[in-house]
Amino acid sequence: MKPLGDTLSVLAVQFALLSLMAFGGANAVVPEIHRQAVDIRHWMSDREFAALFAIAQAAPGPNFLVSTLIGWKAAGIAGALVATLGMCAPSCVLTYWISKLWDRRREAPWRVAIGAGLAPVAVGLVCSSAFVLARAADRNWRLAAVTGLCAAALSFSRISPLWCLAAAAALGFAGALA
Amino acid sequence: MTGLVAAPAVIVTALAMLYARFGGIAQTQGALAGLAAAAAGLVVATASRMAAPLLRRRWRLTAPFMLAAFAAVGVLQLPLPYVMAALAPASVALVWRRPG
Repeated sequence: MKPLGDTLSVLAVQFALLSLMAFGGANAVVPEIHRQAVDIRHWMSDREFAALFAIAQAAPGPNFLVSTLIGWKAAGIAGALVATLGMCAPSCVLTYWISKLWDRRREAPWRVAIGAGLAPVAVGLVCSSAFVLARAADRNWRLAAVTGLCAAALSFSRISPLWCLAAAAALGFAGALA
Repeated sequence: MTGLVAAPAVIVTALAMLYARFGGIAQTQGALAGLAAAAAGLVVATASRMAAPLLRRRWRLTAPFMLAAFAAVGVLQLPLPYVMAALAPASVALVWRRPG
């Protein structure tokens, strides 16, 4: 077991770095969080990662809160605090400065090129998140079916995601997905 | 801003603590497994919703970068900073040279 200070500084640096790369939202950096937390640092299992991500999705609030839970799992309350700040602070400051410039120059060619150029990379990253999460969560065909049905329901209807989460949790609670 | 983050952060941490406390019970495990599968489905839907307009408009330009990012980060699990450093400038440069 490493000393707490080491873990906290790793959390601060990792999440601050990630927050600067989260062009496609927090969902774009989920694979990197997973790689760090599960594969490299062994803070949790694949299954725990999927569960913590799910809790962050189901709870109210912005979806970068998954960083709060990773920090919590790695180093308790202090870890939760450090990871949340790390994920927020740099991008909040950047957003403040850049978004003004960004909005003012909506028509500028460089602005259009950067936006259009980053978009496909961000989408590829969100696809990666979907893949990493599905691989961690879908341990049997029933769970895989839940993932597929939720994806289809949310793609082809305007149903609230909370209904999907609630229904799946209820089915799981009743033991229907084991 | 602080309130927007702090309150949900406290709520979500409290939920995770409950999960840690009662995670051993079969029902909790089942509910969490279902929740995790549904949350993965949510992200699949988000991904397809983001991908559709890009693929409809300029797939020749966008599809290679989407696939490259997916293969590198999703399948091969390469470190994100390196992948971004390689793909983002290339993608922006291509759009710059062939705008519209």
